[in-house]
Amino acid sequence: MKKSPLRILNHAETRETRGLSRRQAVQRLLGSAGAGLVLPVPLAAHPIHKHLMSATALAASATAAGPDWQPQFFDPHQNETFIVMAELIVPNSTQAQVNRFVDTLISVDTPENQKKLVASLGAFDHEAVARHNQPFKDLSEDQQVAILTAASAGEQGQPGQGRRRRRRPAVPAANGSEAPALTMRDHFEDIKGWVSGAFYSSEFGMKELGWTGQVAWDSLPGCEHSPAATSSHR
Amino acid sequence: MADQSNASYDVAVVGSGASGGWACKRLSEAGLKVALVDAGRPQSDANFTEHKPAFDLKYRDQADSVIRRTRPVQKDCYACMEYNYDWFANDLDEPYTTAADKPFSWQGRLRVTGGRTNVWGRVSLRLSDLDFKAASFDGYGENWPLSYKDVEPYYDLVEEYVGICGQAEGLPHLPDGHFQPPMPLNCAETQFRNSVKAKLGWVPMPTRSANLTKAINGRAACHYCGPCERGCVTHSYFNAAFTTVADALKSGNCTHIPNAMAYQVLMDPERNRARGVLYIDRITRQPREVKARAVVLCAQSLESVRILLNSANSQYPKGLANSSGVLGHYLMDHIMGGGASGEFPDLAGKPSINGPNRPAGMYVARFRNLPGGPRSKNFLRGFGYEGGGGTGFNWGAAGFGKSYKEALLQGQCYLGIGGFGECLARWDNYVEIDPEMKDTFGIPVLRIHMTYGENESAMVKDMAESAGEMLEAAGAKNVHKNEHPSTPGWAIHEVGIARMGNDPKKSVLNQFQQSHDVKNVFMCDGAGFTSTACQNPTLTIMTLCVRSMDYLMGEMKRGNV
Repeated sequence: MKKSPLRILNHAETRETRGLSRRQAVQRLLGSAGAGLVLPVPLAAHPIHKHLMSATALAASATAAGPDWQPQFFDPHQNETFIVMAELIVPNSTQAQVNRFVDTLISVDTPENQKKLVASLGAFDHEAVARHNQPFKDLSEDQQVAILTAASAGEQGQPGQGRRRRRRPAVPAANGSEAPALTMRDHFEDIKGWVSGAFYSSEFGMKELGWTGQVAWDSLPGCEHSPAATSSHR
Repeated sequence: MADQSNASYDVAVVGSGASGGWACKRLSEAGLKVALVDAGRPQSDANFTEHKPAFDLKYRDQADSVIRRTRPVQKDCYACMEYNYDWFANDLDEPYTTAADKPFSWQGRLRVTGGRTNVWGRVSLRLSDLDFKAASFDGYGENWPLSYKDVEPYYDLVEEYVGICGQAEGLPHLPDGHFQPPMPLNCAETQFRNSVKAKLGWVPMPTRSANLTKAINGRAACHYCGPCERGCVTHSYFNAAFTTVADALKSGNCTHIPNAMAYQVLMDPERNRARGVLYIDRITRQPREVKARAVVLCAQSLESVRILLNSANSQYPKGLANSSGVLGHYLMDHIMGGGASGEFPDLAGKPSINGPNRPAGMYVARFRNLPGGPRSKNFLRGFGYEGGGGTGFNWGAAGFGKSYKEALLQGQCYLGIGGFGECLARWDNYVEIDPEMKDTFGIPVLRIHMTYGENESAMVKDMAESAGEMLEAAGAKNVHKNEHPSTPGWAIHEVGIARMGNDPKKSVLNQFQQSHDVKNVFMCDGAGFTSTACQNPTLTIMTLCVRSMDYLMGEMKRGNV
């Protein structure tokens, strides 16, 4: 393969740089600045290159990549269940090691959020045992998908379990009144929030969305509609 | 007993942020010997992480609870993140108190050189005589002891150096400045601007922002990576650390004293003059004294007033420079919490996870209670909006599996705006020294008392309704209005607790931010603001600082200081 100085910095390369000398690593990183596009002249002279010489740019990835990985929070059953569910909810989650990152994150989260995720995983086991007398991870894929489909189409008891609102603390129930019970849909949204948040913040997930690693652009496009077209728009 | 070092300076400047940086630059470049007493540790390009992807962080910037262990208050600031939270004060080390029923969120307390300008929102707007003479216009409060023509040349000077992108709109109450080319509005914003201008006569515009679109002074034009609050190796946004402070240090006349927590202004009681600043070394906890002919407090309003209150002595038992009793009163912060958002499905493009990312948004100029226009029956003064729109991924897509992944790629075009409203100056909103609590440096902490009043509540209601009206006018679908008045402090625009005025009985500072009581003490952060206006305060803080420093140098030459 022809070696281009402008090729895209990819996952394999960042791993590879760990074994290289600093000078080699810097050269590779410089080669990938402005990844994938022809550098316009002003940008080629751009001080952005200075940054790529810095130690910050060379910092090793902190993702949990090692073969000896052990969960901090999940027990082995929860971990396996989470891997199975994550792959069904956001395909390729296993490759992106979504379970490992979520384990890292939930292990430092609040007791409320920890309790909620444990309860969500438990609710799917409850449903699996009720339907098929086996825990969720041991069901056939068809059976798993059927349970997820029903859960994802159900009513939300407590809206706001999804990715965007996960971090907002729950509104405490007024004195004497109970918060509405969590439904299977709520448990589904809770787990989906974790999986989606972990997948799309991983290098693998970002690449799937087209992330190139480019950090500098020469200009910013504006609106190209004609003024009349936008102002008369309804 | 404080260490008595022999070094003596012309001026001791406390704080290295928006105003402290300018004070140091202006004075040291004119040849004065300046000591910069800086609570921060030195900042450098090596600390900047704007190009570091989230997956290179242990928690990918998603573990709020880890940050909240040491920054439970600072984390509420939008700019406090896994990338940079160690730039912010540790709230456990540096507490403050409030009454249980009067929460105040004191965010944006930075402990690196450059202060809050490391992470600020960069919106840079001029005030006008509608603001400086607001009391004459509607009868509430006090006028500022200066007018627009007094500060106009200094706005010019500061804008030229800072580098503000933006465009002229010809609005008398939001004066045009010396702008670099604006960063363009996108399609939804363009439609919003055109429709709102045509149908309502109100003016949405590209935000006037301290981001370069042209290189100046060795700083490159913006390269549109996006997250300015994590620093900028090309120095394309304005951060005092690599602009004003760097210039001051380059002059050879400014001595940087980092990790220095200012405690008191020390007095020479015989002459009724300050003789310097007492600080606690944040690392060794040793008290140290910096001697100077004049002291300029630029520590941020609340911190600067805390220093003066902690400097009380037998001559000034209520706090230094507080013969008026006004010091600490009239705390203000912009009221937020009213706004709206809507969808523009026909303008949705293809969402992208890559740039270019625009670091400046859209601003809607004030349109209430303008001269010659109708007056609101419900509130005085006015508000502007910050906001913006564009196409993003459909993160709320339903379902799971392959269909979810595909649905997520369907671009969603949203536009949202939120108001920043003027907060009326009220005596009852004040700070004092907490009688019990000390911070980790042994310095007594502030007790803050602030609530919003009926004027602010009425304004939030109008912010929401008017935002909804604008979105409807622009043809948005699914318009959602929100009306949740913010907790005081949330705008991080706290100003006004050492107000300027002509009458020494009713104000702390004169129009040059010089203490009425102690002629060689100046306060150049937002503490001197007589009213908030609704514009973001930093540009005016910098502008007044330069004007006041020119005055200080004149007074020193004339032998008055």
